[in-house]
Amino acid sequence: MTTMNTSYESQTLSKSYFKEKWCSLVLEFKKRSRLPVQALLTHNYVALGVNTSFSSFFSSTDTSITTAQTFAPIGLKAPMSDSLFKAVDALKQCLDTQKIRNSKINLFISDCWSYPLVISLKQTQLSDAETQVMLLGLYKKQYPELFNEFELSWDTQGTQIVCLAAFKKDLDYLKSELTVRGISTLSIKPLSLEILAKLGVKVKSSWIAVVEEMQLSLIRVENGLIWEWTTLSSESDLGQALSLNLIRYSSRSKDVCKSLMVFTVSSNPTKISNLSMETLIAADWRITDLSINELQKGEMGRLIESIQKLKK
Amino acid sequence: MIQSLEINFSLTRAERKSRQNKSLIVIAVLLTLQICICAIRFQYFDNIKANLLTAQAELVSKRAQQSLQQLNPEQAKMALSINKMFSRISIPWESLMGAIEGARSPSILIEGVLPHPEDGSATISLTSQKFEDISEFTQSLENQSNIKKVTLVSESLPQQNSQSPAQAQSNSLKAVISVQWASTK
Repeated sequence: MTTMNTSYESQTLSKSYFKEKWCSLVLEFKKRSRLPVQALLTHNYVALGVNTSFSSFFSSTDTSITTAQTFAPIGLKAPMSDSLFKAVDALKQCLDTQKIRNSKINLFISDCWSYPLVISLKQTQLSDAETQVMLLGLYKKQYPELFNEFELSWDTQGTQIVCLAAFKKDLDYLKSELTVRGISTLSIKPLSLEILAKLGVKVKSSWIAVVEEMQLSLIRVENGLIWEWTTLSSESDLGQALSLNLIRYSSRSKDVCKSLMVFTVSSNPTKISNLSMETLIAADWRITDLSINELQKGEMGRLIESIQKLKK
Repeated sequence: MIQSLEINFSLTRAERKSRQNKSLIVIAVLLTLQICICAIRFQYFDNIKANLLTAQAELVSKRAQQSLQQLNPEQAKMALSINKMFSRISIPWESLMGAIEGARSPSILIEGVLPHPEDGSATISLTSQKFEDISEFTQSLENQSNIKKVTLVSESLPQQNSQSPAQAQSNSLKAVISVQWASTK
């Protein structure tokens, strides 16, 4: 009996030993092959993963080097840019721990450092330069706190323009820290838009709330187009802020849509489960919780998953 | 669509456009290159096929000659006559007459059709009042699906000097047309 147990243990040991060896080999291969690294930055978490475009070849999630790290969140009353600086520092730490240098990176950043705007164009066709000037003017009016020190990224969808601004010095700091490590940025994309894109055809006509711990992005989607995009932040009650915003928007623009889909990025139960939406439920709103499984498989989904596991 | 929305802080709009243009150019160049390579390969294989077919035809005729040489004179004579007989049997009378009938106008009188099975051709002699009718007949023959090549071999005009005007009017134009029929294989 004792002998059997010992052989079983040795088998298990050798299995785990080889698995570990195999994982480290794969990891080393990925680092050396200069495959793009994926990173997700939120206001208090950072997650890092090496692109698993060869996932079908390696076939196991164990081979990814997804690492997630939490850092002390900064209260939203503090300047947002400080928070991004902290997130970049955490990312630097992750990159250094994994010894990732001379690589490429795809970054997904939380909307808490971004300033969205969706406008509808009813004028004649404007050139890119003219649109840029018009958007700069609109941003100065809408977000005076940006003090002319922001960078814009925008794209058109039909007759609408979806635009996002972020502090230039934040982005410069992020890019310079990556450049120091020989890492070139392939993309820096907003998290909520990526989540929406991954949700794909499931969203036809609805409000989508991408919820983080102290902040959420609220996006109105109609037939695959973005109609409205706002970010809300609150230390006290995000649910109440969300309800008020939705009801206010619906009455102002006479929007009849009463569907809300909630996607939770972080899973801090103390904050997220407290989303009080009694007002919405009383007003006949249909609220759907979207889980991580609703997303199409991808590196970003796994990064979010690794963040969610941190607190569980 | 949300999927195609490109909001990216690592590239400016101009950079993104130039990158898209570059990739489009690369794709176009690659496609053109591929089409060129395919065309060259097709040409190459087509030439090989033509050469092989010629070689095969030469080989078959050589073998036929060799087998004829092995026969004694009487047997060779007999073989030739049998060959002629077979080639006569192989004349596509039905389709040939159908083509002539399809192309003929009532003003044309066909005097005779002489087939030459050796080279797959036939000589048609005809008469008509007007040259236009002969020309029209030639063109119509060319349009027939089972006729390959139409040649106006000869044409004789009525000799006006030796005849009275009344005779000349009644005389018709004579023409000989050579046609090649398309093999049905």
